Formats: sequence, C-alpha cells, structure tokens
Amino acid sequence: MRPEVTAFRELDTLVRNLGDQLAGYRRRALSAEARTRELEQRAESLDEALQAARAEAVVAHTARSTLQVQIQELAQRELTARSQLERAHIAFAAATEAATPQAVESELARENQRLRARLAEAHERTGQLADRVRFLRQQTGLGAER
Amino acid sequence: MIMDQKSVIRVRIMGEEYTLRTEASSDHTKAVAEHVDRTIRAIMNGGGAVETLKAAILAALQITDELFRERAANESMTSDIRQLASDIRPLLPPAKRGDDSSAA
Repeated sequence: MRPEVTAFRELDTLVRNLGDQLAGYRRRALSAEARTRELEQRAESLDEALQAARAEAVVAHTARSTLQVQIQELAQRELTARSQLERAHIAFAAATEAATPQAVESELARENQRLRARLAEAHERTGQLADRVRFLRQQTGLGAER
Repeated sequence: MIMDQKSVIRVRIMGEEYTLRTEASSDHTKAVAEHVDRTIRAIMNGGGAVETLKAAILAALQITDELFRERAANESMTSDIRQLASDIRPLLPPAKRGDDSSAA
C-alpha cells in the first residue's frame, strides 16, 4: 500500500476515534451541566428554607426578649407583693397581739364615751335650734309658745 | 482506476495509433494518452519548428518534472498527515491510539 494511503487511513482512524472521544466528553459535559442545574435548584430551595429559619429565629429571639422583660416585671411585682404581704402579716400580728379582752373593752369604753359626748353635743344643739325656732315663730306671730 | 485483468486499449497520439495492454481502466488510459498528446502539441505550437521526436522528448521531460513535483508534494502531504496523526494520538486513550501507539 502506498505510504500516503497508509498515513491517511491511520489519520482517518485517529480522527474517528477522536470524534467518539469528543462525543463522550460532550455527553459527560451535558450530564454534568444538568447535575449542576439540579444542585443549583436544590441550593436555592435550601437557601430559601435557611432564610425562613433565620426569620423565625429572629421572631423567636424577639419573643424571648419580650418574655424576659415580662418575667422581670412579674418578678418585681412578686417582690412587691411579698413585701406588702409581709407588712400585712406584721400588721395583722400586731393587731392580733393588741386585741386582748381588756384592750377591746377599753377601746369600747372609749368609743362609748366619744358617742356619749357627741350625743350630748347633739342634744345641746337641738335645744339651741328649738330656741331659735320658738323665737322666730314669736317674731312672725304664727305660732303660740308651747 | 486499476483493474484485475489486462485489457487492450487503442489510443491516438500525434496522429499515430498505439495499442496498449494495461491493467488500468480505459478512461484512465485514454486520459493519459490525451495528456501526452496535448503536451507534445503544446510544445510544438510553443515556438519554432520542432520535430515530433524532439517534441516528444521535451514533453517527456515536462511530464517527468510534473511527476517529480507531485511526488515531492505528495511526500510533504504524507509527512503533514503523519505529523497531524502524532499530534492527535496523545489526545486519545492508549487503546484508541492506533497500531503505532504500541511502538511509540
């Protein structure tokens, strides 16, 4: 066989093999491209989920801060209530201690005396008012002295 | 162009008829004879009065010159083809590099 024919056939075989090889590379490139697109889409969905989770975390953090403030306020109110309760207990204990029968009797006697004094005062004022009414009737001649 | 059995073909050059026994096809043999006839006539019509034998020798020289030039061009092209093949070979896996790859 002539040398140029041999060389040409050899080149022809190599070029055909190269074509097959390039077709294989093209298939692999297309497959890789499709896989890349799939991974990009998955990454996008994961990114959206991540952003949603971050937003939820921000909301949860804000709610936690609010709850902490409320807890502090409630703790402060509890302290105040405990203090008031303690004072009430002390006052109640003092009142209980002071409420002996003699003390009650003495207090009742004082109250009775105050009421008697007020009654006497009212009686005196009633008398004064009756005198004035009588005087006025005499002045107008509308009534006789009783 | 080349046939398995020899055949007899008659051709005409410079008015003379020649009977040729050849393995080549009739069309090819006639085309060769026409080329020789045309070349001799071109030399004879080229200038001066040249006798047929001398014109035939000059035509043979011209055709041989063309042949040598074409052989050189052919060898150059073959060399280019081999160089291209050796450039392509490394791009392929060993199993697809052809028969010469095992020797390389």
